Amino acid sequence: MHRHYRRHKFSTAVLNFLVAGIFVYAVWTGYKNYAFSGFDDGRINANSVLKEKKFDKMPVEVSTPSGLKVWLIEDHTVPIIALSFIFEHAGRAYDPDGQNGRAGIAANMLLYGAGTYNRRQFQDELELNGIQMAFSAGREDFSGMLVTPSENKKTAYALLRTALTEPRFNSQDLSVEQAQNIEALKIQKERPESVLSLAFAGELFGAEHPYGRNPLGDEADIMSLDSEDLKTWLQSSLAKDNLIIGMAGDVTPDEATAAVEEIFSALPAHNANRDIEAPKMNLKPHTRNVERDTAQVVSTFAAAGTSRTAADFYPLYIANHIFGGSGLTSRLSLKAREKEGLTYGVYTYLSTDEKTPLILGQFSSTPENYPAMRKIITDEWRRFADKGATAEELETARSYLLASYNLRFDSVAGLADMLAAMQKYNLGLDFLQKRNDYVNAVTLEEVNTAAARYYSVMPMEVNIGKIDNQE
Amino acid sequence: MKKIIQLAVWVCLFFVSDVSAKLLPMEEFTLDNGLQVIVVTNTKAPVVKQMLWYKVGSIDEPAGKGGAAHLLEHLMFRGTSKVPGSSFNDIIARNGGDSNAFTSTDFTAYHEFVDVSRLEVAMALEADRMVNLNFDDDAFDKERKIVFQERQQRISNNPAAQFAEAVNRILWQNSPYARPVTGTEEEILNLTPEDIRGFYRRYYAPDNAILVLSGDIDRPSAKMLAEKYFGNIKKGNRPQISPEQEKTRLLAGSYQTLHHFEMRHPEIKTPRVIRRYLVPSLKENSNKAYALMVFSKYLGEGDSSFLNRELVLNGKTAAAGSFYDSLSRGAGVFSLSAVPADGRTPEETETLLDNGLKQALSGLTQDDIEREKKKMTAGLVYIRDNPSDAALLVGQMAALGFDLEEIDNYEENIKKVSLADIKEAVSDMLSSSSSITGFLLPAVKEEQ
Repeated sequence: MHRHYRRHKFSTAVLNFLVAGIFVYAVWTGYKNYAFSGFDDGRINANSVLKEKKFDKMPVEVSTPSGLKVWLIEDHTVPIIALSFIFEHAGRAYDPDGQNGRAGIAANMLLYGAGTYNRRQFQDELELNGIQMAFSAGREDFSGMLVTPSENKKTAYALLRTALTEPRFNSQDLSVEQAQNIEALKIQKERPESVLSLAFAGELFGAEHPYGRNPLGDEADIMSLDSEDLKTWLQSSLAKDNLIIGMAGDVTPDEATAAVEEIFSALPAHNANRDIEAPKMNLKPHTRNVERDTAQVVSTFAAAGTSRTAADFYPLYIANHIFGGSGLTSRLSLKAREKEGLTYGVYTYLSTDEKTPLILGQFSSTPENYPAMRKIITDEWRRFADKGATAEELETARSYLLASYNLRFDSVAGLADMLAAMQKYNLGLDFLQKRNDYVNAVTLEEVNTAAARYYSVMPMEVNIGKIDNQE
Repeated sequence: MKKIIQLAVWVCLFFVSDVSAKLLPMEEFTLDNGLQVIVVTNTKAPVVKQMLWYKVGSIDEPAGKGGAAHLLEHLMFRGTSKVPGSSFNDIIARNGGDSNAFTSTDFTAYHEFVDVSRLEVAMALEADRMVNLNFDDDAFDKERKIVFQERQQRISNNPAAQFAEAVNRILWQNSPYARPVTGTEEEILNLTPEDIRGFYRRYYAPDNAILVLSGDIDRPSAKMLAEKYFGNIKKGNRPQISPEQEKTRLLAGSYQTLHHFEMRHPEIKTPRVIRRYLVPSLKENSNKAYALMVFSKYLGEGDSSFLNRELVLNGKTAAAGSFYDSLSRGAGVFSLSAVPADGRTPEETETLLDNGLKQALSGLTQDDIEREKKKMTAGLVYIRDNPSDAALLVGQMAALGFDLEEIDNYEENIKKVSLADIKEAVSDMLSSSSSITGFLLPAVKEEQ
C-alpha cells in the first residue's frame, strides 16, 4: 500500500505508463495461466459440486457424581466408542531414582490380568470382544486409550476399570517383562536413530534430570523392580485429581457420565507425585557428535520455542510451518531436498511440552552431504531471523491450515485424543469454533517478530555418524 | 515423504482391523477407458481420501532396472506440462491436503486426504499426472539422489532391514520378489530418464489403475466427477501376458529349497531367529490361505497366542511370534520369528520354534480354532471408522485383482475354516514348502 501512495510524486506520463504496464502484465499473466500452466485450482474450487460443509458435532462437557469431568463429541455414524485419558505428571520422569523404567513396565503390565481375570483370560476377553486397550508412559504424563464396538461397551468399561484398579502385577509376568526389557535395551543400541535419541536427551536436558534418562529404563533399575513397586506406582500415580478424559463416538452425554463414573470413580482422590522442575536446557549453539560408522549421518537439532497457550504460539506455529514444517513445501525441504537432492527428508516441529517448549528438527544424509546440509540449515536459520517470511508464504500457510481444518475429524479415536489434548493444553471447550479465527488473526508482522525472536539463536545439534570435524 | 511400504503393513490392517460382509458401504463401477472406481461412503466428517492405485510394482521392473517403479513414484511429484516443477505440492498444500505415495512389490499408490470441497482439485491433479508427466533432467537427477538417500536411511542405516533383504533374496531365488523395492545402490545410480519414461508409458493408464474415493461422497457424485476428470483419458496399450506366463515369472524356482543363512553384523547386540516358508497366497489358493490365517493367529499373533504362552511366558525365548502374508500376486509367506532368551543359542531357539509349531498343530482343537475365528471377526466394525483405513484395504485388494466380494465374504470365509483344513495346509507347508532359516547375529569378537 505504501508504495502505491508514493507514486503520486511521479509525472502523469509515468503513471500512465505504469497503469498500461500493469494492464499488459495482467493480460499476459491471464494468458500465461490459461495457455501454459492451465491448472487453476481457484476456478475448480469455485465450480466444485461438492460444497464446503461444517463438521457440526461440537464438544460438550459433562460431570460425574464423583466430580470427574469429560469432554465429549457425540457421533453415531459408526457404532464405536473411544475413550482417551491422561494422568498428568505420572509419566517416566516421575520414576523414583533407582527405579527408572517403572512406569513403562507398569503400562504393559496393566494388560496382564486384573481382578478375577488371569493374563490369558484378560487378553482373550479383549480380543473376543474386539476391544482395543493400551497404556503408554510418556516422559511427563501417563496416558491410555480404550476403543470398543458399542455392542461390547459394558465388557470394555468393566475391563478398563479392573485394569486401572485391580491389576495383578503377577511376579512371574514381571520377570518375563524384565527380561524383554533387557533385550529391548540391547536392540536400542543397534540403530543410529535410537542411539542418537538417547545422546540428544542427555545433552539437551542433562543426564541428571529425569528428562535426560533412557525412556526404556536402566538395566539395574529394571531388574530391581518387584510387584510392590508397581502397586506403589499405581496408588501414587493414577488418581482423580490428575486425570483428563476425552470421549467420542456412539455414546450420549448420560451414557458417557455413567461410563466414566464406573471406570474411574474408584481411583484415589489425590496423586502423590510432586511436580518436577523443568530441566535447565543446554540450548547454547554447539554441536556434539556421537562417532559411529554408519551409512548416513543422522542429526537432531533444537532451539527455544514457546508454550501452547503463549500469545506468540500461532505466529511461531506458522513460522515453523513455513521454515521446516511437514510436507515438501517448507523452505528447508525445498532447498535441501527438492533443489539439491541432499536428503530424503528434513523437517522441524514445535514441542509444546509445558516444561520444554522447543523448536526441534531432524535430517539424515550420507556423510559427504552433511556439510552442505548443515550450511543450508544455518544459512536459512539466519536468513529467517533477519528477513522473516514473505506475505505470500504466510498466505499459503494460512490457506493450508484453514483448508485442512476438517481433516482432524476422521476417526473416533482421533476425536477422543483431541478432546484430551484440548484439556491438557487449556485450549477451552470452544477451541474448535475459534481455531480458524486464531489462524486468521496472525499478521505477517507477528510471524516475523516470532522469527526474529526464536531464530536469532542458532540451534544446538547432536548427530551420529562419521563427520569430518576439520571444517 | 514418499514411502515404500511392504505388503506386510497392509496385511496387518487386514487382520487387525478386519472387514466384513456388508459392513463397508462400497460401490464399484468402471469407466469406458477401463478405470475401475470404488466408492466407500462415510459421512462422519466432510473429508475424502482419494487413492489412485496402479497395478504395477517392483516385480514388474525389467531385470537390472531395480528401483524404477519407486523412482517413477517420486518423479510423479516433479511436474507435468500443465502443473510444472513442484507445483503439485504447492497446489495440494494451499488446498489443505495431505498427499503422499508408496511403492510395493505388487503395486504403486498415490493418495490425497482433503476436505470434500477440495476433492476436485485432487482429482484433477491425479488425472493430469496419469498422462502428462513431464520432468526435466535436473529434476530426474535430484530425485534419483533423493531415492538413493532414502535407501541409505531405510536399509543401509538399519541392520535388521539389511537382514530382511538378504533373507528375501535367498528365499525367492530367481523371482522378482527377491529384489528390493528400492533397487540396489548400483541399480538406482544407473537408472536413466528414458527408463522411467518407458516404464510410465507402459504401465500408467486408466485400464491399469483403480481410483478409490473414501469418505463423504456418494456414488452419483463420484461417478460424475470420475467421468469429468478421468473419462477422457485414453486406454493404454500395454501388451498382455497370460496368467501362466505371469505365474512362471513370479515363481521362486521349481525345486523345494531349504536354506540356512547367517548374517553377522557389527551393530547387532542380540540374536534374532527367523523361519520363512513360501506358501500359497490368497490368490493362489483361498481355502489354504484362510486356514493359514487362522493358524497363524492361533500360533503366534497376540499375547494369548500359543508361542507366547509356551515359549515367552515360560522364559524359553525373549520373544516369539508368527505372521502370514497372504496378499501378493505370487506366493504367500508364512513367517516365524524369535529373540532367544538370555543364555540360549540361536540353534536351540530354532528347535523351540520348530517344536512349538508342531505341538500347536498336533494339540489344536475345534474349540481353539472357534475362539481364534471369533477374535478375527470381533472388530470388523472398525474398518468403517477412518476413511483412510477403508481406502487402503479396498484399494490393495482391488490392485491385487480381487473382487470386492472377497472383502464382503471375509467373515464367512474365516468361519468356514475347519480343523482338517488347517492340518492339511500346515502339513503341506512343513513337508513341501521352500523355506529359509535365518540367524542375525552379533559380529564375532576378535580374540584378545
